[in-house]
Amino acid sequence: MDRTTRGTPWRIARQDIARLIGGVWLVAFAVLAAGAATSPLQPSGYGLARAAVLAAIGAGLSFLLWLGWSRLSGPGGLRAALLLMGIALAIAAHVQADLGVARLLRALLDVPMPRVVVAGDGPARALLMRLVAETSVVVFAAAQVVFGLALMTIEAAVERRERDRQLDDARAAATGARLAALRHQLNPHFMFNTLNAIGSLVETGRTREAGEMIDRLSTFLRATLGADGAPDTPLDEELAMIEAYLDIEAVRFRDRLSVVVDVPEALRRARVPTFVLQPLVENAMRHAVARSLRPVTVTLSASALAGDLLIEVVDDGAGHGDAGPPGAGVGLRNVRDRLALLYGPAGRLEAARHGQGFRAAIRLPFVVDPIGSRT
Amino acid sequence: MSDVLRVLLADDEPLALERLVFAFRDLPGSEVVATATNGLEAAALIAELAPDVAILDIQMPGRTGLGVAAGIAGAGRTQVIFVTAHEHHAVDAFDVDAADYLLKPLRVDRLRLAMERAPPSRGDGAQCAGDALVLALASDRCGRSGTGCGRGPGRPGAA
Repeated sequence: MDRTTRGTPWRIARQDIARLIGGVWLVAFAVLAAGAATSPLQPSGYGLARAAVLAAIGAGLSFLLWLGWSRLSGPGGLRAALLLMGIALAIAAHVQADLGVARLLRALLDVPMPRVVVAGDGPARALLMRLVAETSVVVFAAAQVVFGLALMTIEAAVERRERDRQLDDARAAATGARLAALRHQLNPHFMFNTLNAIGSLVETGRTREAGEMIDRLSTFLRATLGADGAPDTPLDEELAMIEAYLDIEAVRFRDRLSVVVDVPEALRRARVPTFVLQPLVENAMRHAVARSLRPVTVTLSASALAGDLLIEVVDDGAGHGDAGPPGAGVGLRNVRDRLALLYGPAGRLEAARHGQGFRAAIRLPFVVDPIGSRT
Repeated sequence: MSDVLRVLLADDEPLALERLVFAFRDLPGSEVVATATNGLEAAALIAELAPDVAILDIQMPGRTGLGVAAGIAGAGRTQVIFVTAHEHHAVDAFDVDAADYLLKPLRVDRLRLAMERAPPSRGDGAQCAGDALVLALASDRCGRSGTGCGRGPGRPGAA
């Protein structure tokens, strides 16, 4: 079942279907043959031939059922109902075939038609009794129903596995983002400059400020080192980490950096990909604040938009014109990839110049349940 | 040659600059004549004041420390000591004949050593300016250049 082919990711592999049909109708053949062998009314050669032909026809009907089923899209309930109808049709067709095959084989093998007298208390009941007596309708029905149930069960399993795989991918991407965040924190530019700033505060006797700076650095590091690798997190927690980061930068850059955070309380429970804001804010720091001769304002805002969550990181710096340090575009690309992985086309990143500065906006479905619990 | 080295400090982060100023209070034989908070200001002040030593951060708005150092022209020029959190600019620093390359967080003992090594900015000592860098980069540029300078703090003229 794990050999799902590309292009039809949630469908059952052909080999598995072949194996399923073969298995079901081999058993049916065995049952039919055993029934024929123990019947005193007909020669065993006729019984065996009939069992083989009918099992082959059954296998063909099952194959047709699968063809229809695999091309059918729509709600699960409707597909199941149509499958049941298909099974009923297949059984009826099989019974018809059985009657025809019996006639043909008897003529070929020169076996006389049995005289079956069915006494019933109504025409419908009489017909049913005759079918049961003359054909193997019970075996056909059992085999097709087993086949149909197996089809639905296996497809559900394939779907579940596929969803699990997507969730795993999302988790892996979150881990990648976490590692990127970790690398950022441990890179010289941020970490050593922050430690240098703390050293400055200590040496010049501003120990209370130094303590606060250490607290912020701890908050920021704990958010990363303590992260459990979940693909998404409440916006609130993401903001807490970003604010600790920006508080540190505000101390480092003093009046060159102003931060505005505008996120309504109602949106703070919304789920966002873990560490998704870090690269956006980091870009603003690197390209706008660190390169600008005048003070820069970084604005972080969130709003609800037609069932979506819109998060914007806007700066009014002027450092975006030049190429920037290597790797600057990597952060944005990673964000874009993760949004696509988690939300498909519903997750988008827009990044472009905005006045003198830069605007990065991510849009994603507004949900408050963790990824994985809403499948 | 004057006994006191005239020093310019440039860093765009206020706390980093304050730390440098504070460190120089304890360094005898040197005097901070100016501070700058961006590359343009640093370049202008160096041109105006011609300090003996310029301590430059590398990543600064306006102009990077490397750009400032490259703009210092002529004989008797200002010696440059870089102070940065980045390790990977060391080769670039070599290109602009930096006297030394210090890493943040700043270590005062290392800064003192750099200042002791920094030669008077006039005279032939300039050729050996990259000495500390040469050591740091495990190269023998001075040896190949044939000026016969020694290595490390014990070389002639360092005291």
